[in-house]
Amino acid sequence: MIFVDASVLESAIGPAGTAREEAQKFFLQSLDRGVPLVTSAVTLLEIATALESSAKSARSDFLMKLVRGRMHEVWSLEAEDVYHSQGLRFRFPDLHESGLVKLAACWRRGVEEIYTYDGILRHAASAGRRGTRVSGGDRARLAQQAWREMRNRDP
Amino acid sequence: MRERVQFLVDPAAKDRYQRVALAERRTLSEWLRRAADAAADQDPERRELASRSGLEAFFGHCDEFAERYAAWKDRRP
Repeated sequence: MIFVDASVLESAIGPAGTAREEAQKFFLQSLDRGVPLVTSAVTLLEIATALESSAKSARSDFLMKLVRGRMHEVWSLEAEDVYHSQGLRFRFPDLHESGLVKLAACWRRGVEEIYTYDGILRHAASAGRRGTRVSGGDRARLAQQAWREMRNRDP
Repeated sequence: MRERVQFLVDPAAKDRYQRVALAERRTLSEWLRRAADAAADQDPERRELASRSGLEAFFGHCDEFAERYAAWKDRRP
């Protein structure tokens, strides 16, 4: 089971660039391999908040279609996730609130791999317990940079 | 990963599911999980993106929109 983060979902339906190529390739490969993908309601809210208002309607349609079509499960936000996330705050002070909640949710549910272009979440997940795998390689690093630029460009 | 999930069914329904599961040589929880997956697979959107060609076509639509949107933004005063 692979947890797919907002950065990857957002990139797959986003503007042209390395992040989009890499994200679409990830979805195609996971389909070929038959790996179940999961994400969280927190992730969807994060993307909906970040989408440019003039493109929000079309992009959120694409997002929902991709989520309904490819996600094995979308986790609800549970009070226990928030409770656990607060315990991680001092360990990962750079990780934003939604990142803490996602990490707590992944660890509570025993996820083996987190796929993300968010460098801070990647770092926290790989530094964490149980050897949670995070996406690696040069392409993912380039995608991470491209995603950050996309977020900065699109307010 | 194993997780305990509780849900309520009336005893008659539980017996019925249990019999079907046994006939298929599955545990009740395994049978319920497969039934839930099969129900989800009936979702037209899930079926559409369940093949490589379907997923590629979907990404094609996303890319086309992104290109048109970028062009529109460039033309904006």
